[in-house]
Amino acid sequence: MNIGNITENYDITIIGAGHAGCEAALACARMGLKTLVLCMDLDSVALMACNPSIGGTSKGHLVREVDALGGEMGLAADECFIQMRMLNTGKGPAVQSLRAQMDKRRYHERMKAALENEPNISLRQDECARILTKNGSVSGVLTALGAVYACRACVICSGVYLNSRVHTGEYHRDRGPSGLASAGLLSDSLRELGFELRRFKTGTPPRVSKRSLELDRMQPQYGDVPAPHFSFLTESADRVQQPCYLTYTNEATHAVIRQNIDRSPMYTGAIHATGTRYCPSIEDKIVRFADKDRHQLFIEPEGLGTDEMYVQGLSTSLPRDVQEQMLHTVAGMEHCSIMRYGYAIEYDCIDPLELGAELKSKRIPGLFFAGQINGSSGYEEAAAQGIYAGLNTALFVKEEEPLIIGRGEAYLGVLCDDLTLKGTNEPYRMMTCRAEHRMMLRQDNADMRLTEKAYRTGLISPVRYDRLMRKKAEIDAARSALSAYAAPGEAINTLLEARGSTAIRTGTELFSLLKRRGVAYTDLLELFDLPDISPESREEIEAEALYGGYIRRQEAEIEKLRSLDGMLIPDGVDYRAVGNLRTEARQKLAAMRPKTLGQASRISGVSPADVSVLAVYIKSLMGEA
Amino acid sequence: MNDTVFALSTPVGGAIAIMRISGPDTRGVLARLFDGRVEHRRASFGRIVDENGETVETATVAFFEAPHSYTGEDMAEISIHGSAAGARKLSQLLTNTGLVRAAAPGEFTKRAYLNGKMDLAQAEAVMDLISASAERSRRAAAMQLEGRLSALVRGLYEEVKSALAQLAAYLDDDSAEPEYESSGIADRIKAVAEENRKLISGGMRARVLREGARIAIVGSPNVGKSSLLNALILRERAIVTPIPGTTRDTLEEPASIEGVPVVFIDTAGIRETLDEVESIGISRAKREAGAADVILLAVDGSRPVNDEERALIREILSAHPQNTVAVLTKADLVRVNETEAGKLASGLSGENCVDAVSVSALTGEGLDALKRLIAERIVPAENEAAVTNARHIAALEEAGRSMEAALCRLEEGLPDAAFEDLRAAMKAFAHITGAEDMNEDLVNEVFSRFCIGK
Repeated sequence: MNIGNITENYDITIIGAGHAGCEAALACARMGLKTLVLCMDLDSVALMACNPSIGGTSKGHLVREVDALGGEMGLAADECFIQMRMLNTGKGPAVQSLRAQMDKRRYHERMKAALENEPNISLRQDECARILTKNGSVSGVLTALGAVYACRACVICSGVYLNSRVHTGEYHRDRGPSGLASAGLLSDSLRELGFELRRFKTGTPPRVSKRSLELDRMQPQYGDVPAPHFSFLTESADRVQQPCYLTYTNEATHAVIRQNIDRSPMYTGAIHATGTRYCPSIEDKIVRFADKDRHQLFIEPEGLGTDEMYVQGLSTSLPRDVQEQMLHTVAGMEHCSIMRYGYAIEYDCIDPLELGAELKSKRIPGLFFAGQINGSSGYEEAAAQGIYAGLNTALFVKEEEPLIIGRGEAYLGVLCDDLTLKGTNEPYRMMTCRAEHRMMLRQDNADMRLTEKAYRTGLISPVRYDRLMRKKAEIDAARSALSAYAAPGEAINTLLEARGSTAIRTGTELFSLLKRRGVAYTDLLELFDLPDISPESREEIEAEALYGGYIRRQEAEIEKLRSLDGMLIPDGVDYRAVGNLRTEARQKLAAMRPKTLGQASRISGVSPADVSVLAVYIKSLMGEA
Repeated sequence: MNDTVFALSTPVGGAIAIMRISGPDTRGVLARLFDGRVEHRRASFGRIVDENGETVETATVAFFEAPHSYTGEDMAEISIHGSAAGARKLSQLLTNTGLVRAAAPGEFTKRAYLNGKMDLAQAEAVMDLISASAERSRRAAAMQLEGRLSALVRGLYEEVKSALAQLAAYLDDDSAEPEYESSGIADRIKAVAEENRKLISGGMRARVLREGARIAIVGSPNVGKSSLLNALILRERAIVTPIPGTTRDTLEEPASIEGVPVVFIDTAGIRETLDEVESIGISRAKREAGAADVILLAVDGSRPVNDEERALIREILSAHPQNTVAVLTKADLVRVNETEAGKLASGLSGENCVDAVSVSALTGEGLDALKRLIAERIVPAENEAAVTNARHIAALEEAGRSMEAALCRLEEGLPDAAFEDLRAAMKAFAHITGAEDMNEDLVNEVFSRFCIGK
């Protein structure tokens, strides 16, 4: 194919400007590289096409991790939220997570402005038609409007737009979310480059008019006061907040769905793609959990300047009239008026087993992928992959070592490790139970886990770095002050009894008092000579005291993981020559070509004995060399 | 690879048991449980003590400092008296220190290789060893845990997984109003913990080591069961006459086979009889056969088998195909009836996969072969398999400790910590059952049972 003259030169092209694309672009630009961002519709930059909220269990962790790496999502969310709530407060610090309701229009504008204000970013409305390669490596992109942009690397963040098709009952159209256009050109280019494309599916519920709801018949849910915030940079985020509302489906709702189930495209066979078990449609829930007599619905405002409300829990692709009928059976929604109908959407994605740990194609140098194209679901999962792929693309262009974040370091590490080593057969959603070391991977210590590690990228601003150093110094000071002993006395014993704990009779280390359930740092601060530290530092110290044994155990496991990940497998290993591997392991290893023994050990079908055999084999190779 | 591992490096039941320890914490481990001196290249005599400082037994400990050892790491060899129970107690003490874990198959050799203690030519052999050992211990695990015990451990794994899924749904549930609760989880864990305790204390392996394997000698009257008993224990314990039905009650006699304690049980010959005393003896014989770890099915090899005997053989073989050894007795007389015995033996071993052996109580012919067959059923076939076994017991104990901890954390209102303990318990069970991908298994369970998500 004859490609015309080069229109412009860039270092990196980001394809798509959703939650992954925005973070990827900002990371590349902030690392000093000339970055082009292609987006099919600039009014849909950072569009929250599904629910108007950011965070939630484990997703809130991801937002904090993106922030700790110098990303934008946390800051933007802190500016644009209309409700903020810490979830799971009664279940222990490891599973606490922030969730924020967004003004989704403002969020889009805020994120678009961030891109516009970055001197190294050119934001352009156009569709990528083809990835260009030279000698097998990325050399540029060709757009639908015929422009040729030369670049050394690309991050594909196409979200759910590739060959997307939406379904509402008998209505089927080749569209993207919310009536936007589908991207029809890039899939063929990816196939040409040797990627096998798969079809995944997700869905969204109807949006209803707030004035048509009887909100006083629902249970309101308010934000926390004062409002907590995501970013380690945000000082205070207090503001007037908007409530959400709780209501429930009932037998009548379920009867409507059951009567019309044959009209659902999931059941008529119009949809062939794989949906996520985490975000099931209401028709799926009724079929799969037939014994549940009601399902919770959570009514969320879409923003301050709109009457639209999002009906979380009612994702559906049933026909228009069925959507009306079923909503009208719900308490407080009997007369509700639907403004946008729910739909299911299918789209092309790649098999993430094609990717190395840093989300880079194993075959085509310079080609990176992030977000739903990798088979994940969710804004936060996308943003986390976005910044990770973005900063690694920049490191690639600069010819520096990649920054690998492991399972023991972040949810982001678990996410990318799972995707690239285990793969996924459905849109992958983060869950706290996927993280083996979650006592360590808390949302409060994301900065302690990641900020220093990412320092060499240049994404960490001096302010952010100074804050972390201050926090660490505070924690160290508190730790050493807590090694003092408390003598038994009336004041301390009154406190302990008031906290439901037993009195002390001998001198006791303050730190061990903090281990007792119900005893807080602030309690001890009143009685002993301790430094007055920030709430964030207190959280860290209290978690250390409460979970000491677990944290030490997990640290030891992480150390083991790290040492396995430190053992590199040479590039050209011929697995057929390793006689003692079991056949299944040999095939998997040959197909996946892991870079380290640690990665090899996490591939399903590779046993510990296989890993041992491989270790010995590699050692013998090195002996020969 | 810088953790510390241990393994029994002698067959179970030898005169001496040698436990090897290798890794950086070797000295630390010895400091906890050995009161003798620990010096490089020196064997010292001392006492093995438990957590409470009580003497468990005496031992000789040889210590080798890194890199001057077989593995190239700090290493010790603890030699104790060779009872299986002693070795088991020692591995328990080692595990309890929290500093060591049971070695994986071939791990000592692997460490030796990786630390440069072997030359390149040996690499291939090391890989052979690892994969063969892994395969052997996998098979051993499957065989030892065949049937009831395996089903029990699998059941415990599933129960813990199910409780864990409930806890996961509760912890990951971020709906506005918690839809899932943690109530009832504690009771479920208690039930699993109780089952696990029973399995550890009453489990076949532990009981065998404590009380001896029960080996019942059953068969038709006058086929030579009592003579077989006397020959096996090398003295005239049972009264032997040519009169059928001489042994009327069961008779127990402790002995030892390859160092493992056993109890031989001589039983009344099984036949249709009107004699009341004899028929009580016969029903006891059948009960003993049912409860035995190994059944020696005695068949008179010197004469054709009659219909009643044939029926009995079928009955025993179909009821206890796994643990029966057919013993063709009176091998000194057998010449007249070689074909019959041979047919029976091959018929038995071919069709039912039952081992058969010809024995003469008079000349002692075949007795060693019989003892080996018995040993195979009660003693894991080789060194590596014995380690596997210690590993299983250690795994069950680890699961027990983790479940206790989980219960405490739930009590304290720390469900997130309880989850970690429960996951450790699930992992310990998975160690035995060999579940493929525990995390994926758990996530699947959560999704299949709980409607979570938006």
